Amino acid sequence: MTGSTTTIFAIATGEIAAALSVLRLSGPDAFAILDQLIDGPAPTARRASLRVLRDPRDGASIDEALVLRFPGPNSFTGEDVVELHVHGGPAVRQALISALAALGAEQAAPGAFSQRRYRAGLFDLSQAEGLAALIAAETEAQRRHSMRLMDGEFGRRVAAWRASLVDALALIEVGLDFAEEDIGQDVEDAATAQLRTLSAQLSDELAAAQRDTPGLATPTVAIIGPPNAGKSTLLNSLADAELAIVSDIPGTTRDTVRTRLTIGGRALEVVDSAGMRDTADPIEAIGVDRAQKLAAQADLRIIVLAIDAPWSPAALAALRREGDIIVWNKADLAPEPPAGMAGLEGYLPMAQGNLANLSVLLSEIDQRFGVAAPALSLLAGSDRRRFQVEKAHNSVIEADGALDHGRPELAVERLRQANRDLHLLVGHIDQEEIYAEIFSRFCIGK
Amino acid sequence: MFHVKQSGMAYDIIVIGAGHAGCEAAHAAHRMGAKVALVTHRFDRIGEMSCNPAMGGLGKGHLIREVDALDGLIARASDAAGLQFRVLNRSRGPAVRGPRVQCDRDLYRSFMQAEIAAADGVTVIEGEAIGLLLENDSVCGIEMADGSAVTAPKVVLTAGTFLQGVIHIGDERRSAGRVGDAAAIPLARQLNEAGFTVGRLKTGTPPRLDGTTVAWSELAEQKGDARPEPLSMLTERIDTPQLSCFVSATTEETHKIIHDNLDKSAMYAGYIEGVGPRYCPSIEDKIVRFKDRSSHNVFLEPETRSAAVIYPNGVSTSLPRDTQQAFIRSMKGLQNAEILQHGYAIEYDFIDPRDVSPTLETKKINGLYLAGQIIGTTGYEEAAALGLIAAVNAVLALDGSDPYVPTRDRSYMGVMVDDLTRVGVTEPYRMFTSRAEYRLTLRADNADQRLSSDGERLDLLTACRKQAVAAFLSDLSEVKQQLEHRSVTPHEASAAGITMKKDGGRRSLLALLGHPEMTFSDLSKFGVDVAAIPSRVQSRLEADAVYHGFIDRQQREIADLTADDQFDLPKDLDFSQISALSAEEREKLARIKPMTLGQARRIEGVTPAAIISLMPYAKRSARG
Repeated sequence: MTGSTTTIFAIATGEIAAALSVLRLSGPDAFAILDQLIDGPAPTARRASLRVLRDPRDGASIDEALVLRFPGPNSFTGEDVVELHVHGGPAVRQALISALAALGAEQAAPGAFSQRRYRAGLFDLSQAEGLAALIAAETEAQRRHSMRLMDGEFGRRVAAWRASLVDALALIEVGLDFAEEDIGQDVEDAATAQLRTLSAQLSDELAAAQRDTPGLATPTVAIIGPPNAGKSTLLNSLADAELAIVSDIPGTTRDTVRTRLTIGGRALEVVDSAGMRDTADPIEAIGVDRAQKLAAQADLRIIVLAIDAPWSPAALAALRREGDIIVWNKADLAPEPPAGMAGLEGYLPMAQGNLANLSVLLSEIDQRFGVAAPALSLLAGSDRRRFQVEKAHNSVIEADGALDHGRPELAVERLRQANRDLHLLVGHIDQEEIYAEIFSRFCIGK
Repeated sequence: MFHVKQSGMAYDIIVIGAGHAGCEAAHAAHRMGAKVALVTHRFDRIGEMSCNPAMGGLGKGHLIREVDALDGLIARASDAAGLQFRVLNRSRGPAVRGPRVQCDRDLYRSFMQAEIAAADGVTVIEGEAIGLLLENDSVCGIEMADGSAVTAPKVVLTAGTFLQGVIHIGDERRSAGRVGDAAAIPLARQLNEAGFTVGRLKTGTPPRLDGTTVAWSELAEQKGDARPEPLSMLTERIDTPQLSCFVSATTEETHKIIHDNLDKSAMYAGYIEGVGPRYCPSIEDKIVRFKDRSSHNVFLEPETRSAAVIYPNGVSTSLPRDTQQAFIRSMKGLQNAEILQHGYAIEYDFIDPRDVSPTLETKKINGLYLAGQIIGTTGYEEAAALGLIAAVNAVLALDGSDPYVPTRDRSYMGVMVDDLTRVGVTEPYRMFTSRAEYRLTLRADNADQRLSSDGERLDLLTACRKQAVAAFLSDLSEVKQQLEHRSVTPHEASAAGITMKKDGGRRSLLALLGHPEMTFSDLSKFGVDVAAIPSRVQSRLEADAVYHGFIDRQQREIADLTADDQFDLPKDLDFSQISALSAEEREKLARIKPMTLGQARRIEGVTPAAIISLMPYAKRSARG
């Protein structure tokens, strides 16, 4: 039961020119609207069928479409849902939208389909966030993270915390409401132990969230090296665009130049930087400083060197760290670094305009990020989730203290507060759960 | 309040059943000035304690005090009949203390019967009500078994376990309302036909023992409180001597006997379909469900002052008679115990409480009100409270006055009515303090402060009650003011042995009372004439002080959730960096730049989820 009275629609594939556009319709009148829109009988449920769409106002055909019907409650929103796969031009979309509006459907607000799914109880809030994050995901780590959210992994973790909260509440309440019964164990000690375990779990999770948050960001690839090594040229080659000003004058690049590239199917922020050297020019010095900072923070660095832009082994050794890619640029001038230039093991030669060289570099970058993304804390990347867990954690600590001070009824108040906080994360706690726990575990009743 | 009888009807209100719900209902209606017919099988069974002769406890004691605050009978009857008084959880905080009284069932009944007899607005009609007289969808009276009719525009039905009641002892089965009383069968049929959702519940009671056959000297004694605390605010003090209870326990042999005869238990042989309460299991249930326990305590409670009849609390059963005898005798001190009346399980019809509105009027038949076990509760106290509320609303409805619906934040009665009518029941409903989300404010000790004004407004209070309440409340506010206006410095406090934070300035004596180390009598160190202050006033102020700071803070937290305007958003908050926001929300928020969370919420298209994701950035306003 969703209770929605309106039927909504939206272009699921966005406003881009493409071969196909998918339009979704959801709500109590979805099937009735479909009937007025198509020639021929309503398609069998969950079976793709070809139908001509017509504007009911004048009978003119709009497009030929693949039509799918998903009767509620076994649909995304839990309501009757229709999917129309039409051709992807803007005029087709416009005609269809106008026909649907004439039939009484309303244009969906952003997130309205998810909201209906949430209201129908088909997923919890963290799953809704997971879906939103999945759609926005640029990196493998982001994709994996949002998939785990979508799958309900966070909901299950919260359910486990809640179970332990219910357990502790049951232990305390049994001691209060059934003081006269021979319960046969020290329930408050057991509750304290339960709360300390829970508190440790919550605090571990919060620490993990802190640690893992950077792992969810889009990785940065820094291009660094001495002046005039061809760093900006390399960026332009990678981006296949004139992003950075290129000249033969050393020190041309003063500031960092950023661009977002997709390499091997994943998003990367590639940043060009000022050549690193000692300089008296105060503006260039600022650029060098920024390059240093970038070099320190980047997830991957490409160190670019060339025959006319060599670096002292000492300078290289100071900069170098594991995982760096060394590019020997301008290989058309000098195919190899001069003998005796140490620290360049495993370098990639790169001649300007040599596409083979470039593709080796691209596959090298791809490989560096190809390792499986680690499983990050599900609290990472959401201030909302972290904030709620933090509040619940504080309440649990206070409850522990209240028990210590012989005020179990105040401990209960704090734990109820923790419940409300967890409630805001995913779902809802019921007093009946606590009774179920009490009565299954304790022999109550004289 | 209401004085004019409706034309053509013999009574204003008919109350069917004179148990704990029925007595409170009839008497409350009488106090409000209505003309009441109380219909019961036999006058001499009015006010019967069908099960355990004890009143109150945790949650239940709270309900009794609330009924007392509305000038009901149950608290005064318990004080008059009390054999042993104890406050449960005395060592804990005031919110979770529950007064309990072990009663003499004969004295209790006599008290109730005398009260009913003295109520000149109540006419007791002995006989069986076999049907409701209806006019369209409204009730207009009842039909009696002898063929006569009694008319009234309102009927309060408190049938207890009498609807299709069936008693089970082993494989014996007979129709009965309780031992010694007939079941109400035609009435049950009529309610069924009216379209009510009818379910089946069960409850049970233990065998009663002959007190002269118990070896008391072998058993551990459980004494009452040294200073018995009365249930009613009208009872000055309890002077009758306190009787002890004694504790025996089941043995391995008891468990073996029960285990070997499980198939003969009505419950386990499958004769019973009704659902019993989890918190009042039969001894069969306890032994099956808690196999690891080798013993369960059994409390031997006197049913009368003479202790001629003993209620062995903890061994409710539906085993056959000979098995009951055998297992009773397997326990310490009971080797030669004689059973006076066997334990039994009783199954009965109840009406889904969701079929009644929070006024307790049914949704199907106008003018018909239900209270007590008939809507799925268990316990004298629950029944009494519901009976009172049903009658109040029946009387209010006579002249179309606004109904009285107690709320969860002001009384346990409100918690109960809301739980029942909104959620329904799956087992007999008993009150616990944990059902109340406002437990810290809904205390047993402050029911008069919470509800006396309701009672006065509803015309439920007798002159003597009004006087007592007014006197107490004026004493209370006078002393409270006195303590608020006298303050001490941290230095003075520490001189008297109370350590308080040096940071603050002077503190009122009332605030000082909230200090964990403080008791009321410590105030004498600051010149308060403690001896001149009534002890009830002292303990009330002490109890209020225990939770004062906590309740304040909690109310702030709850208010915080709603008072979004008291939360400032940073001026330089970068909405584009908040990942949980939709693109539309980011754009709108960035354009409008709300200064507070409340402003953000009022922006069209900004969802509650977005507000939640903004909360971590919001800071409590200095203005707030």
